[in-house]
Amino acid sequence: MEKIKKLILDTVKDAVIEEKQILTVTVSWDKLHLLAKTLKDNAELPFDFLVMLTGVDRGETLGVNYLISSSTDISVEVILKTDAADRENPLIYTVTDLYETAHLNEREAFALLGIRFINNPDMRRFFLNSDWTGFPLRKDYDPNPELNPVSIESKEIIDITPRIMEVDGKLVEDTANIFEADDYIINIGPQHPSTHGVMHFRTALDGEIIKKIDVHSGYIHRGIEKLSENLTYPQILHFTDRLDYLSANINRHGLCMCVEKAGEIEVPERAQYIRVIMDELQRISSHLLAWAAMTNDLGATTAFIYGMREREHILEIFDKTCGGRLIINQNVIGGVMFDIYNEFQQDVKAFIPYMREKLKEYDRFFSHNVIALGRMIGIGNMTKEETISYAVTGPAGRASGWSCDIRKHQPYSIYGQVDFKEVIRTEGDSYARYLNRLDEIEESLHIIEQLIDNIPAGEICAKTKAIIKLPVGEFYQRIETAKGEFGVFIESRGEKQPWRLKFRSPSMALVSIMPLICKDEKLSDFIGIGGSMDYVIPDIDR
Amino acid sequence: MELKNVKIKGIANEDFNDNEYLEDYIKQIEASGVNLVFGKLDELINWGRSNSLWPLIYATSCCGIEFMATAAAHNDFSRFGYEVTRNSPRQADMMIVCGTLVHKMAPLIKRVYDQMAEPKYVVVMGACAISGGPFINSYHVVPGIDTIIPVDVYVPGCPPRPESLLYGLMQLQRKVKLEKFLGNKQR
Amino acid sequence: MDSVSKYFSGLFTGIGSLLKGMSVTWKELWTPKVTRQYPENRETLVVSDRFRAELVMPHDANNEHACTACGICQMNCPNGTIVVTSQIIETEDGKKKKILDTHQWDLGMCTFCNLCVITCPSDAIKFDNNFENAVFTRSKLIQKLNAEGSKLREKKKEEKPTAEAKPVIEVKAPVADAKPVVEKEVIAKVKPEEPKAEKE
Repeated sequence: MEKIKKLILDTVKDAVIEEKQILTVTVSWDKLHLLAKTLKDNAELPFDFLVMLTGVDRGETLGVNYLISSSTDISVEVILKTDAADRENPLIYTVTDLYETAHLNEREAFALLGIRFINNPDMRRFFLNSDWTGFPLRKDYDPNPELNPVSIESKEIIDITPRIMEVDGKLVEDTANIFEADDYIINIGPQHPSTHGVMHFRTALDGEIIKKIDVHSGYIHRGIEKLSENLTYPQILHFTDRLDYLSANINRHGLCMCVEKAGEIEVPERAQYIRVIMDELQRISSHLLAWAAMTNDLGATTAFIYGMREREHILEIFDKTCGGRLIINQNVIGGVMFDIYNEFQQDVKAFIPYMREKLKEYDRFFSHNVIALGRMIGIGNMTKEETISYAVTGPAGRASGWSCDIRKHQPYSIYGQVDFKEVIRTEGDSYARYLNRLDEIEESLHIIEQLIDNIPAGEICAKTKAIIKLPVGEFYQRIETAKGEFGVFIESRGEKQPWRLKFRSPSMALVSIMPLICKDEKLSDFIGIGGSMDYVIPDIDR
Repeated sequence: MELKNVKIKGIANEDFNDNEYLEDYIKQIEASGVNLVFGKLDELINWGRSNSLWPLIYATSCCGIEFMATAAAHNDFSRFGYEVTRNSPRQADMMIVCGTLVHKMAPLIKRVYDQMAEPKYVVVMGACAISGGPFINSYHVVPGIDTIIPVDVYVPGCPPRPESLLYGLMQLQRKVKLEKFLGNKQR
Repeated sequence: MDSVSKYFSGLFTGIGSLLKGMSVTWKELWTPKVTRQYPENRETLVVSDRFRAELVMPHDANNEHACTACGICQMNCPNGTIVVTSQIIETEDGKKKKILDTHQWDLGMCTFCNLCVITCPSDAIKFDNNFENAVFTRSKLIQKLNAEGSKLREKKKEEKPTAEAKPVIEVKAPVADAKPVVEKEVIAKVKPEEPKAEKE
């Protein structure tokens, strides 16, 4: 870490380095790109993984926080902070040329905070319509519904993007066309059964070969981050279940851990065990649904029915434990809301061999099917470098040979005590992602098996104050959901509400790489690739 | 047609919620008189119609997954003739709206609804679709589908369990069974 | 010749893999059915008793409930589903007392996060698992939880003398039995400050 500090100071002399939980570096807006580039090109420990890009309204200024990490060791973290010079016309240099994943994140920051990024080739608003009045995440945003009334008039989609480029040291505002003039464009989505939600892909075709994809999002943008700024921490919890609803419990675990870390709340061991068991059950159920949906996309409706059938067993356990099937509201700050029911262990232990049996069945049934293989092997290839640049984590990232499991690299809760294997494949195609999920189900079963008989007795929830206030500061928490790395960022100013709350969505990275891996593939394979990526749209839009 | 003649297997009429609405509905329909011949034919048509309601799935978020669970093995809504989920609004009888509706999506739901052929029904599933639910105070969320299109059945829950959705769909069946297809037009 | 043999071997492995898959479906034909026959099984259907489907306020045989109209549930509700209205009445001994007027809950808006139930100091409300709630009219989803003519369950007699001439907050403090005293005080202190913050 000393070497990193020296490197930072050598590059930017006036950088302010603070030794917090994570090394925090504040630089001026024109030096940030240089510093990020130096850190990325650092041969010994390249900081080539942009975990989170968060636009923050700091009151007087608008700024951006970058949490960067290294692909060789994702537990190393550095935070870069910068502020735009002018609140009226906030400008910051883009890092899209260093980290591809920054592209959509910067567009999000522009939509919600109005920060424009110099040299980003595409500066359309990401979630909101281009005629939206105001920037919602700014503290002086006027929420008056008359400014932005609900309109039922269909709007034309404009394929021209404004941008701001630096040419010969001068800033030039110009526009660019997304598509070529004679491109044949079809819309896939937003209301399409195979996009796994309300995603809108504008697809330029050459025959049946995909030439270019333009991703439109925001058809389920619910403004969770803004809503959270007016709610207390226990009240915010219920939003996390509705982000990536297939990893509901894991998301909630992430937010709870972030608040617990900041508020220094000790979680009882029994609660930790229950949390991890529930997380792993949730992971299995999510992977089962991903498997079912993917097979359905590839035309195997029977397999869909099988996957949903097995999933129902887990939902039943959830239902009995916490009174919810999909949205389960189990974790609370300091522990869990409901203790396990009497037959919990018995039910889970009955499920493990049943699921193992079914995994063999899936293998015979679909994994070697000649049609399935033809539609998965060699389709949707991504290399390890692309995966890292686009920050694609989870089973999809590990299918390209990138070891990126937070449970292994930064063990949280009781993951340090359990034995499990990180499933890594190197092919990087749809089939590798497909197999990775099935193997992860097996690993999750293995984790549950180790824990289920050893749940310690004791409290299920630590005593907390009636009103939870976090100390002033910035807190990050990363956690491994079924889709990839989920992150929580809380900036607290000592109030009972957060000043800024941001969720890093694993699905956003999965979607951002779709234009790249679908290029030159057939249109029908686009659906299959989408299935193998397994993204959840409300998680992207938040 | 009287309400007591509307039969749903498994649940008695008086056990259903909101029978007052259906009583009113019958009065409205019968205000224009009852035709004996067409009346009987209507019952036959409605028997067929109510048992083959093809849904258009307008799934935006969480409730869509519970809808899938309703479609899958454990609950299997093909027992009611709902299994022919249509992806084209022109072939669908009813629209099941599962999930939050936001500003950007509002024009699209209106367009999809307009594309559906009469007679058409709308079932809203879950708190978000009914009122905006958890996100009611948000800047980008429409506070309820019924501000944009007319709604026939509200299925509350967050998300409703599959049985709850089935119950809502049976409510819709009862409404369909009361209607007149020939003779006079009510919708 | 090579391409022909390749063609046939490809064909036969393909057919083989299909048959292998079909053997699974064939076996499935003989396994017991998993479909739950709702609504035919309505009498025997077991829904987990923790399942949250609607909020209820349990009333006892004397049509009495435990709600003191403190409004903590309303305060904790993340989206304003609960509206508690209360009125101040004067008891026979001339003391002013806040009693529950209506406890209104909107089923069509509720997110079932359970915060109202876990924070209720008098355990007056709970979630029920009756999931059959679909209706045709939106206004039917807005429910009044306290029954007509119901009133607050009286405390035990021996506590009466000490509670006299004290503010309302103190009256409801002794209701919760399992919670330690410290926690109750925190809740009580917070209360006056909260409604103000909400109005701002």
